Amino acid sequence: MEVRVNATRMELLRQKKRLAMAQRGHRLLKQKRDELMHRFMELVEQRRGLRERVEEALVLGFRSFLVARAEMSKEVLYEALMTGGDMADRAGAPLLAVRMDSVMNVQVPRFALQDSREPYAYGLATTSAELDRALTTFSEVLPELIKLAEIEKAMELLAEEIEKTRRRVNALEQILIPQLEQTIKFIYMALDEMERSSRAQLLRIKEIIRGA
Amino acid sequence: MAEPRSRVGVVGPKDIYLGFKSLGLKVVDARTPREAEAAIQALASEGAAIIFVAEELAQGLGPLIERFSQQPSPAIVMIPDHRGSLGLARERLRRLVEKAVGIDLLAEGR
Repeated sequence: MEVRVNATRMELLRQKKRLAMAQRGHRLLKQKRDELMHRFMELVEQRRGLRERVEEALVLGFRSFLVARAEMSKEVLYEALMTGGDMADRAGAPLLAVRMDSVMNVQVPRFALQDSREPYAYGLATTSAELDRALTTFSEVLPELIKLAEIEKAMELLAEEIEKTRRRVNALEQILIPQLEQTIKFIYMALDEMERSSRAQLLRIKEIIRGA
Repeated sequence: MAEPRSRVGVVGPKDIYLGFKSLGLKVVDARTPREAEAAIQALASEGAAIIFVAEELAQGLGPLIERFSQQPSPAIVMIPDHRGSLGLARERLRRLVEKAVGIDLLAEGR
């Protein structure tokens, strides 16, 4: 690597300070990376099995729902879903409390369901047992589905931050720190060389004076 | 209430996902990736905190999902339909782990 600095003691001090700073930053970033990784692996652990369980439940729910849809006329079904009780007002209404949480300075959302909804407030006379089953399944799986969303989102955000941190650690480790070390070595050598040459000059001058 | 409340959206064919409507989720009908993209954008700008997307449609939405994945909100989550999981969500998570760890940890025993 080409080193372009003035070989002076001032410069040596400056470069040494920069090296110390880079090493400190390196250590801190490494700690940050390790802790982020630790949190990430915890999420991996939490998610294990959760997605499979949720997917299984959803598939069953959708199947029931499709059967119900086949059994009932479209109008009756839609009416059951939309006009039963105060459903029309509630459909699409905010039902989630969102709080931002900081994990190692990464902002991750935490979700909390607001109220457990009673899903089948429609006229029972016109609807099928299969529809009941589907909607019960959905309402049972919803908390887990929300949890899954929270975990997967946190994993996405943490993975991004871990990658960034790792890149910084590597840049310090493989580029900046070796570069600074080399610069310092270069200055030392240049200073030593200057010292030797000035000493040799002094000796020669001494010789000349003595000879005179 | 100090905490802001948000909607939860579902994007996919209405026939399959309409049941979620009775739980208070906002179901937006989409049958193509293009429709799904528009629906996701609309829900996101409405401030939806979570958007569930049919896995089948999410297939064609890689860049969009990637973009949202780096923002704190909304969370885009793939869900299966009645035919079962396509394994896309698992694949995506495997890539995330790879990205975080730097190597493919879950490669074996998958």
